Amino acid sequence: MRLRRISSHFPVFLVVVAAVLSAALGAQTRVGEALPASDTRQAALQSCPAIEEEIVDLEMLAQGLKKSKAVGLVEKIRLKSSINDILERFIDFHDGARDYTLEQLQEQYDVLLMRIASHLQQQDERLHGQLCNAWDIIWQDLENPDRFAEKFS
Amino acid sequence: MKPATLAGLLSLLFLASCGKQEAPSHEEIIAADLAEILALQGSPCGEVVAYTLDERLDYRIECKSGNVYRLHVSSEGHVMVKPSGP
Repeated sequence: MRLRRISSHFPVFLVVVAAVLSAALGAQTRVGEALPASDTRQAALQSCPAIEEEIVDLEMLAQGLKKSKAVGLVEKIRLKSSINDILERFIDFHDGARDYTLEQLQEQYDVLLMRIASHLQQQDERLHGQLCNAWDIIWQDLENPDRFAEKFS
Repeated sequence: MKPATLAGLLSLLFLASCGKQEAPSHEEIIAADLAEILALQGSPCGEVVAYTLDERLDYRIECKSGNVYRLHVSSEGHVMVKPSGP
């Protein structure tokens, strides 16, 4: 009897849970406030162009940027500095520091790569294609403690 | 002011400027990068006052200028910006 009463309320429960989740995911971040949890759904990066030579880490990306004619000297220095900054944040994270969560570091990584892609997409299709293909490969090395230690120890 | 006092004050100022700076907040890092991407894409924004991460690589951004944009990455890895409703 009691079980039947609970099961009859189950669809209502599901609707409430869905509404709460939807509100949480759609919440807005005012600059200076906490960030909503990121959603892993993505349509992006599913059709990266075919490339001949792969980039497999941030150092190779930095080298590619250094040689690219699509980026001015000052921007090259700023981007290299940003790459170094995020690498240091990952070193600190894997050392146990918790200034940023892993989800926040992923977002910082994604936005940095969006910044780099913005520079490349019109003027350096080759490096842009390499960046597109490497986006998730590099992330996997950064987030995984063993792979990160292997690369940066 | 005695030279020794002046030297002492300058030393203190120098040491204070060498102190470790506080790490920027996550939101400050994201807002600064989003503003820069909008500028690179030729979309006037100035300062980002709020943003929503709708899903990974897909943002809705409110600028101090009042402009609102959707900024996302296409399936080919291209960064796309388009004006969005308020």
